[in-house]
Amino acid sequence: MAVKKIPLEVDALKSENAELRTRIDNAGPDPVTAAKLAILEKEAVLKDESIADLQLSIAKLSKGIEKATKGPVDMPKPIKVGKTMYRFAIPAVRYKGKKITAQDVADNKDLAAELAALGSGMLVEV
Amino acid sequence: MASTTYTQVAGYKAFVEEISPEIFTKLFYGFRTAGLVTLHEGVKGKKVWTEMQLLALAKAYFSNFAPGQTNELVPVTLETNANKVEHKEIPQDMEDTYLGFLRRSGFNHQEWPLERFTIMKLLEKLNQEFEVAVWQGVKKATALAEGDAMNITFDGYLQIVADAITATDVTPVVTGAITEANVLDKLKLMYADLSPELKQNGTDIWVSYDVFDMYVAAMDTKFAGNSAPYVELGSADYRGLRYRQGGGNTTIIPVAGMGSSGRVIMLPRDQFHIGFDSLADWSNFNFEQQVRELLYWMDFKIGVTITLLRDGIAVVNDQA
Repeated sequence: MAVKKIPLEVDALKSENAELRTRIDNAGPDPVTAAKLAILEKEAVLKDESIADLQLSIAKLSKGIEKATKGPVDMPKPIKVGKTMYRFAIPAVRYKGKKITAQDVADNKDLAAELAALGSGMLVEV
Repeated sequence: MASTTYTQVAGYKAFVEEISPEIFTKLFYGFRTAGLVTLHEGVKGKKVWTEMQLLALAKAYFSNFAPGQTNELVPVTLETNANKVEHKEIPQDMEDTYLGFLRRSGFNHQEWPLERFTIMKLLEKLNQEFEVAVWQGVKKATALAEGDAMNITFDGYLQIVADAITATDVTPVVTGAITEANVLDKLKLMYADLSPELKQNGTDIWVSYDVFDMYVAAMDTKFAGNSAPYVELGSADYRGLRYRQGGGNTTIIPVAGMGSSGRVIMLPRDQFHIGFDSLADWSNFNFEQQVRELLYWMDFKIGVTITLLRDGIAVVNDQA
């Protein structure tokens, strides 16, 4: 059967409880828990470092992949001609008396096919 | 076999001191390309000069003075890089070869002591390496390491052209792969892009022996073996061909250093530069005797550049 406490007792208990909580908070965890927490914090720091390293590696690899597939800076994305994928290696060429840029070739599949068939150095097989 | 007096290192040192100008000349001027291009002696680091490109000058008349931009100044850098040669040999091991060499008919052995024989062998091999490096060199992106070859200490002409194409300083003509069947048409296509002044005054067409031989074969076929006159390139045993189009002053130059490259470069030879040490520094071919071995070492600097690699003056194709 539940014991019905009078309000004064409840208030006293609440106050005692609050005091105990404050004391626990101030005292911090017990030595065993503190040691476990320290280990966990160290692991967390190490994991953060690993994540930073991995992010750096991913950035480097992405840059490498981009360079390998796109060629020198500011080149259009690789283009598929027939069944072969080509990347752009030269930003502009002279073809049939006209200067054409890699972007012109990227935008014109027939021209790309023509240059690929010629074996132009502008398009390099990926 | 008994040791002979001419294997003593003192003999080598004396010989080198006596003929050091000859060694220097043979080393830096002795390879084929060096015989054709502009050479700069005494470049110890960077030599920078300014290329002035004049823009449009003549305009419609108005009384005010408004020149606008009439020229563009572009710095050109010739950078030489340190290299070394280290070699050891046992002179007795090669004495029989040397004696065989001396017995050739009409040969004056007084002019060819063993010292000269061995040094010239080294210089011949170095000349081959120089010839390849000045054309095919590609500078290593990361720091150089012990044992790295000379051809990754600086960019050669082919890499300089490739960089100029990437930087859009020069726009390559699409030739595709060059074959015996299409070489005449492809050269004609490229030649059409040259400025009329160069067509009149002449230029040089630099090609690998692969492309050169295709051209010779194609011309022989077309003109029944009576194609084009050969042109001596500095010596009787190095010959190019006169290119028929234009004012008749254009030469097709085959270059061993280009390897099997399909690149064709139309640009006057004066615009190709090589920089190297000066003769004043030429105390750096050293010898030392260590028991039976003779040790050689030499430190030198070399680098190349190309000037006026611009549309209208230079015409290149799209093959690597």
